[in-house]
Order: sequence, then structure tokens, then C-alpha cells
Amino acid sequence: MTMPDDIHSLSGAYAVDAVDDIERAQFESHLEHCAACREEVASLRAAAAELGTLTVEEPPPSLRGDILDLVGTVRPEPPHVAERSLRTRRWGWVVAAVAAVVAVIGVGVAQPWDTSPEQLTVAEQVDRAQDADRVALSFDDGSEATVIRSASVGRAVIETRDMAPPPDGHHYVVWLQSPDGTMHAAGVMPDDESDASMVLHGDATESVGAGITVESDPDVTAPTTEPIALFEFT
Amino acid sequence: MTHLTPVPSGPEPEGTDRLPGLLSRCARSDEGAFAELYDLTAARVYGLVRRVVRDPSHAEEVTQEVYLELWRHAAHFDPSRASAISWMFTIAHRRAVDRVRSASSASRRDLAYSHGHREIEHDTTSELVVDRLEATRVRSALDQLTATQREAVDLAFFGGYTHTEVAALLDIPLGTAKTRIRDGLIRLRDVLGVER
Repeated sequence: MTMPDDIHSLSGAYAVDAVDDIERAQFESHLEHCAACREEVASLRAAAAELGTLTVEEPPPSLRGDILDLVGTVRPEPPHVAERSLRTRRWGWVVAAVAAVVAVIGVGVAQPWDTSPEQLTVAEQVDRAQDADRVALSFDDGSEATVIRSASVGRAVIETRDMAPPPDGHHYVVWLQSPDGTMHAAGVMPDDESDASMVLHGDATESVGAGITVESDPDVTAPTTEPIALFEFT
Repeated sequence: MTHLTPVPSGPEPEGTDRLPGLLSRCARSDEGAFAELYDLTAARVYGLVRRVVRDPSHAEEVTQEVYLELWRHAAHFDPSRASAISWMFTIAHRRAVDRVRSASSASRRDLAYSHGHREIEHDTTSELVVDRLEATRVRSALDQLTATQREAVDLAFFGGYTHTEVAALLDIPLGTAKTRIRDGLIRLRDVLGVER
């Protein structure tokens, strides 16, 4: 059984980037509330940095000019001054990073069906809506997740296949992203179902995307870790 | 017209002590400070990147990415959380590891990593005397690790492998590689007396 001890022991591997993207997301979620691990990671990184004295090598002289020219064209980012702007920026930034581990396998529009909405569940209404927008992601471990959003129905649904359970004491929290970048909690994935279908809470009419984070507190009101998956609506 | 000149306030800090000040000037778009930062650290950053990614032209590209990120994020450096060199190396190492793990370079990567004879070899290219003394100190600190700890730390840090891959390469149980990496780094930290 995975115990808290187990997650602490990842500090060394995390400090030297010897973790995969999922482990990194999980450990960073743990770091949010474990001062001992934050301290340990900082000290182990400092120790690892000393190893850099063993591999000193002068770069080719041309590199200096190339790099100096390059920075002349780039504006340094401002310091983090407010929690809110931090979150928005982190979330935006991570889109590119996550895109690297995730491949979009399909974006399509569902066929309309000639069934009256009254007989259908919300999930079915979304699924069969003329404007249903599906974003399907497949992960390195073979699992898949699809978010279907219908602006006309105003709701979104997430479906997963072969999802590994979250680490003990953690949950997959799903978020809907507003056009201004704010994330709204839209539900917690059932922990014991690898193949799940869940209607997301909240109005999805205006949402620009959905995301999943690994959280220790299922009632968290804003993401505390970087998302393990992001779904961008068209 | 008069120019503002810095008021002399004791001796100029040297080497890595100057990095925090240079970083805060970089955050304010001071390209001169950036050039100094580069000159002080390029051999260490490039050397680490090159060791991890192997290919010299990839190493140049990654080093460029690293310095661009340092420039862009200089304002995010927080001296209360890490030393400047540790912060810079964290960024450099992560970039190097991302490169070797990316699909594009996976095929070009030397999959049969021969860790035995490459392990922590002596470097003779550096003209930096301070670094040589430092390297001697680090090398003797490494001698305080068990052979299995050294091997795991070497594969993770210089090889850029995940602990899961390290476990497979060494044919040891999953949790064991993780533990060796951590115990090895803790030993290294304690022998070197590193604070952060």
C-alpha cells in the first residue's frame, strides 16, 4: 500500500528530474503542503548542483554572441506579484508542456440524433448535441480521456478509459476554464473507476477548456498543482 | 552632464557571490549584467548540458534555451529558496533532461548507456582553478557514497534517466532505485556540508 512515507521518498528522484510527468505533478501537489520535503528538495538540488563542477566544459565561442543577440529581442517577465496572475500564467504556460506528453487523437463534431431531449440524460444530450465538441487525449500509459462540451446544452462531460487511480490520499479534480483564464472546480473523478463518465458541474457554455489536476483536498477551489491534462475547446 | 556612479562599498563580491545581483539586474533588462552572468557560468552550464545530452549541437541549442529562460525568468529567482547557482542548475538540468526524453532525440540517443567507464570522469578542459579545487572536493565526497548509490545518482543526474528506468537498467526493484538516489544525494549533501 502506498503510504505518505512513500511519497516523501521521491524527493531525491524529483530533485534531479528522475521522475515522469505524472510523478512530477503528484509530487508537486505533495510539496504544496509538506515543508519538510520542500526543504529537502532544495538541499538535494544544491548538492546535485555541486556535481556540475565535475563536467565543466567551455562552450564554443560563437555561442556567447548567439545568446547575447537572442536576449536582446526578449523581454524579461515581471516578478510574481499576485497569486491570481501566478495561477493564470502557470496554467497558460503549462499548455505547451503538457502538449508534449499528450497527443490529441480526435476533435470532431457528433452527429445529431432524432431523439427528444426529454428522454435523454445530460450526458446523452451533450454527446448527441449538434454542436458537441470533443477533445480526446491519450496518455503515455495507454489511458485516454475525452471531454465533450456542448454550448447549446451548456454542459460538458468527461469520459475516461483505463485511467490509473490517483495516488493514495489524492483525487483527480476536473476544472472548467473561463475565457479570462480562471479555473472553476467542476467535480472530482470517482477514485475507483478507471472507465468513468461524469457530467461536469457548472455552465460550460463559455468555457474555453477543461483540465485535470491531482489534489489532496477534493474541495479545493483553485488548482494547486499543474494540470496533468488540458482540453482546449475549439 | 553628470553620470551616476556606483558608490564603493567594500570589496566587490567574487564569482558565484555576484550571481544574485546579476540576476536582479537581468530582470531589469540589463544586458551587460547578463553577459557577465554568462561568462561566470557558461562553462558549468554548457558542461552539464553536454554531459546529459551528449551531442554537441544539441548541447548548444539546449544551453541557448537555458540562458533564454534564465533571462526571461530572472525576476522569479528567490534567494530565500535556493542559491543562484542551484537555481540555474535546476533549470539547466531540467532542460537537458527534457531534451533527451523528447521523442525527436530519442532515436538519436545512445540507448546502451555504458555507465561503467564514463562514471564521474576527470575533466581536464577547465582552466578554472577554483572549479578544479571544487571538483576535487566533490570527487572525494562522492567516494563517501556506496558504489550502488553512486551508480544510481550517476544514471539519474548525468544519464537523465527516471528512477523507473534506473531500476530497469540496474535490474533492481522499483523502490530501491528511488531510495538509492535519495540516500546518495543526502550523503553527498551531508559530506559537502551544503545548506541549499
